[in-house]
Amino acid sequence: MTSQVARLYVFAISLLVFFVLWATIAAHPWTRTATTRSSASSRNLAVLEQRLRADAELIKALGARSKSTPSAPVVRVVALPPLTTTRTS
Amino acid sequence: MIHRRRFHAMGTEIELFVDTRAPDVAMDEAEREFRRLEQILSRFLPDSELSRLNRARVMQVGPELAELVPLAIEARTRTNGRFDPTVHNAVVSAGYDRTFELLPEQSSRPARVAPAPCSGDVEMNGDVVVIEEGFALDLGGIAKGWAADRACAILASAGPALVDAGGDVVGVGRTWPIGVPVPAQDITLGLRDGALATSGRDRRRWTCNGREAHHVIDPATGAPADGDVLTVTVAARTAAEAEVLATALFLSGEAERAAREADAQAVPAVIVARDGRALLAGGLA
Repeated sequence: MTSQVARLYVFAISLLVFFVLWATIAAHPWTRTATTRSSASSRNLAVLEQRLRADAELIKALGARSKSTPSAPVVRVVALPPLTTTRTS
Repeated sequence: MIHRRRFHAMGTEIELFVDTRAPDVAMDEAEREFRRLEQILSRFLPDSELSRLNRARVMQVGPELAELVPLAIEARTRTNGRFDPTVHNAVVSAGYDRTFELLPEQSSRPARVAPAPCSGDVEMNGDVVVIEEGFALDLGGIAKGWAADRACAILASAGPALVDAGGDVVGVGRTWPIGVPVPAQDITLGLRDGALATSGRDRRRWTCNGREAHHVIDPATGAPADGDVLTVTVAARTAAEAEVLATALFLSGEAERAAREADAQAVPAVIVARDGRALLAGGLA
């Protein structure tokens, strides 16, 4: 009788240990470094994407300006205080 | 509200103006662009792409030089050789061999034996630049104007914008009042969606063995240009174009001739003669 109860306890504890181990293994704790590395490269990719988008915007703006701006700029003598001054460059 | 930022790059003082509530991102980007282009286009930085190209004479170049070198070649054709990207050796020979901040006003260097030749061949084969032996590129003025155009396009994404790159001024989005120095009385020009650039002998000059020298080289002689023109300010679509046209008009040699040429080409220009006379041409009145 006692031995049967002990066997039952051993079986229950083994079952518990098995599930705890399973849950631990399923959580892939060893993949944390790889995830961190992947986050870093994701961030780099995001920065690169942002940079490429900015460059694309710049190219679009330059293209639009060269198409929309007439051959001569609008310039005339005005009676206003200058914001800045052109000079020999 | 107009925000302003000032910094030093490309051997000169740069000022950015933008009319917006949130200027920081655009200002940061525009400043970064100036600094990035300086690393590529400066002839004073030994590791710049331009310096490496000048040493190699034949080199595959990046997108910036691949765009700018053809612009400079086209400008030479358009101005019948007055604007010349191969004046590098002549400028160095005249004493402008370091950034202007480092250039002593009085130089004791021995006088030149002969002006350096200009008008060397430059070809683009795809993205490979080929420079004739004995020549090197100086993209100084056109590069600064081109950088100002790019920076202004970046700033304009935030609102009406103005970039002043040491006198190369680009403004978009509204009318910006820009001063033009004239001995009798300064003129203010209202500039909208265009650029102003000034070429002259009133600044960036020095004395070499008792002789006055300045940075505007006449490719016809290989020496600093002579004549009665003190400065020429030109308005054009872009600062790179204004730089080219201002240099070409300055090299006409005579104030009246420069004014006639500006009229003929319909290029708005303010021409100041060495005796102080100011001529408005090309539709400016």
